[in-house]
Amino acid sequence: MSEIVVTEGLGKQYGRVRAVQDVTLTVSEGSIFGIVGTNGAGKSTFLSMLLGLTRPSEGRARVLGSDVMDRFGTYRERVGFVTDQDYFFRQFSVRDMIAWGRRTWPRWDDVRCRQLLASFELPANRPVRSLSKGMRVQLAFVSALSLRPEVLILDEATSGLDAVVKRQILQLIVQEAASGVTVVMATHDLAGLERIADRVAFFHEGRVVLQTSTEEAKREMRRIQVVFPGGLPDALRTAPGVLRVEESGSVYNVIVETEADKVAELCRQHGPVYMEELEVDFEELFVHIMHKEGYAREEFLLA
Amino acid sequence: MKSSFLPRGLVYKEWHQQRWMIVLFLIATWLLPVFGSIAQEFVVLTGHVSYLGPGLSEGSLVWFSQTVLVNPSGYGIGLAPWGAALLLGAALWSAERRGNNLETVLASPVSKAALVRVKWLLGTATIFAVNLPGALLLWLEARGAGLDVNGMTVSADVWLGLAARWYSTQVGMEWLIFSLAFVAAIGVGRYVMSILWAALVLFMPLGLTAAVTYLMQESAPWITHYMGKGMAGYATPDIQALSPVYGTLQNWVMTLNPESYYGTFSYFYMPQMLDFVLPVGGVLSILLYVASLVLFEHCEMERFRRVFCLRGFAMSSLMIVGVVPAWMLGILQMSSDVTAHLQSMFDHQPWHGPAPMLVFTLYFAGTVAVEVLLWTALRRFLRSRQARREHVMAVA
Repeated sequence: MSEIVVTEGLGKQYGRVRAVQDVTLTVSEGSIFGIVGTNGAGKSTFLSMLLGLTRPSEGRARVLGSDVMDRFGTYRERVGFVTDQDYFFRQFSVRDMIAWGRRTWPRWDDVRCRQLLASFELPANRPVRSLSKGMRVQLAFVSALSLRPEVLILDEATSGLDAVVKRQILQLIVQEAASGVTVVMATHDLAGLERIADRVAFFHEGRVVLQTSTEEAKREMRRIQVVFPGGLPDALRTAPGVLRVEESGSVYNVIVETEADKVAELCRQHGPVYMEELEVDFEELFVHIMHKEGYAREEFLLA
Repeated sequence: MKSSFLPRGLVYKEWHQQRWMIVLFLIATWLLPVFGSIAQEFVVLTGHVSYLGPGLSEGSLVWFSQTVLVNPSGYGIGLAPWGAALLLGAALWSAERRGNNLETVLASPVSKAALVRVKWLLGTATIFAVNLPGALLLWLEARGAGLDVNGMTVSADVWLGLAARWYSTQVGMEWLIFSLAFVAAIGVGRYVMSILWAALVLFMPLGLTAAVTYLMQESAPWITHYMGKGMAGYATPDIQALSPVYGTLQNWVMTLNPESYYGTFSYFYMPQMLDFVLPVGGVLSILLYVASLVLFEHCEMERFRRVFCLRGFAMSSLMIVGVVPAWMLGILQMSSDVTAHLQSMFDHQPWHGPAPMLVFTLYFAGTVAVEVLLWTALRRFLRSRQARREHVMAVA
């Protein structure tokens, strides 16, 4: 499986602000690579550099074997881009946007475009400025997928969408990846990303603080759900590896970072009436990583 | 692999986005002449020739060429297309900066150079095309000199060279104005600011030369009466005699200035210097195009997805645009007017106080203060409107 996106020590500095620093990562062909991070963590700047829109201050990036600072940007013939920002030309209708795409991308697939327009039920004659946010995102996906991309770069593409459209879009992303398209997506939709991503990079203050596969990421932490007849023993609260304990009635959720097996054994020794080991979700993991990186106040993050 | 010289997608997009601006350009250039011609034709055909007065009793073609094209002072054909050229230069970029369009375009397989090229060539082609009918009409009239049309003889006031001269001068000026607004729009990034900047650059030479000449002249009352001790008064020839460069520069600057160009044309007097307007305007336009390419190549899609070619340029340019006219007006108007007023107050006796400079300073400060207030109010209004729109979009 070849490496489609490769960055080495990539960085971007705006005056004194280092928006992205020393990002080294690879994305394999046909995989879905998620980028998560707090607002202002450098996700969009990173994607902007992959598209050649922003000039890196340091390091280098290659997409589909081409340097992103290639003057003519011909690699973008094979790159689809979707953003949650105002993407379309105001004066254009849906039909005009499609006509522009057809003339711009040499690999444009009219049949695929018509199929996608029909499946999304997008009205061809409507001005894009009158489309709802969901319809705009759908149209952006129609454009991005009709150019027969080898790479899809998605920047908050699912933000602000209702659950139905979001699910539809996520399914589409999975289908594309299954057909060999490499997807790099920055998102705050951690639940959605958890379902579809193969690998994920956590950004904080421009740096990648954790880069791992989805499965490995989930193994970073465990949740042990237990019920004790006389309340949670003190030994468990202070056991090594225990991050914190959440209490919900008689049910205790013990969040464990390391040595989960030892903590589980300790629980068993205290005779729980109910005990189950669960995976933590991405949101939990994300909050934990941000906490470790010193983002925001502890009581706010762990509330 | 190289991208094509004129990418089809970009040409389609620019035409689609700017076609109404091009129509506006066409209207700005030809609305009055066309209306005038139709009205004239109507008057001639219905036999009410006498209503038009002496010298205007020929066919509409002759009237059109002589009165509207060559002597435009009464019809505004000279100024309207220049305004349209300013708008076009600025509009080509402002269309991209609404929303995130520049990001959309640059995420497609086109180079930055191709984007600048397509836009500039579209503007240039528009200018060359829109003025063609005028030259054709002049040429037609020159061809028909001495012929009898509807019982009237077409005069020989128009000759072939005039058509070429009219076309080249008109195109040369509009091209230069368009290119100035074009490069300003890349740097400034705002529609109104780029127009102001281009206008400032166009009229600044005239203002500066006039100011220098006026300030140093012995006839300037405030020099003779109030600042004469440290500064000798000069006559215009004295100033020009200081350096041959100044006089030459002044002549060129005056000739290449829209106001003097307009004034010269309105008297149907065209010195040979006007023949250089197209070559000079063309060379300057091409240089401005190269400057646009260099500037845009160094533009980045910066933080918050806004494009800043020159950071803080909008605000600083506002100050400059506001301060310079205030400075010039303050000197040219207030000093002489207030001085005259004070002289009359003090019974024509020289007054040795700092009043003129004080008044000028107050005028200067007041103008800037008013501008800042207006600018702040405008920004607040635009932001609140944007917030309302976003709210409506979010609800939708």
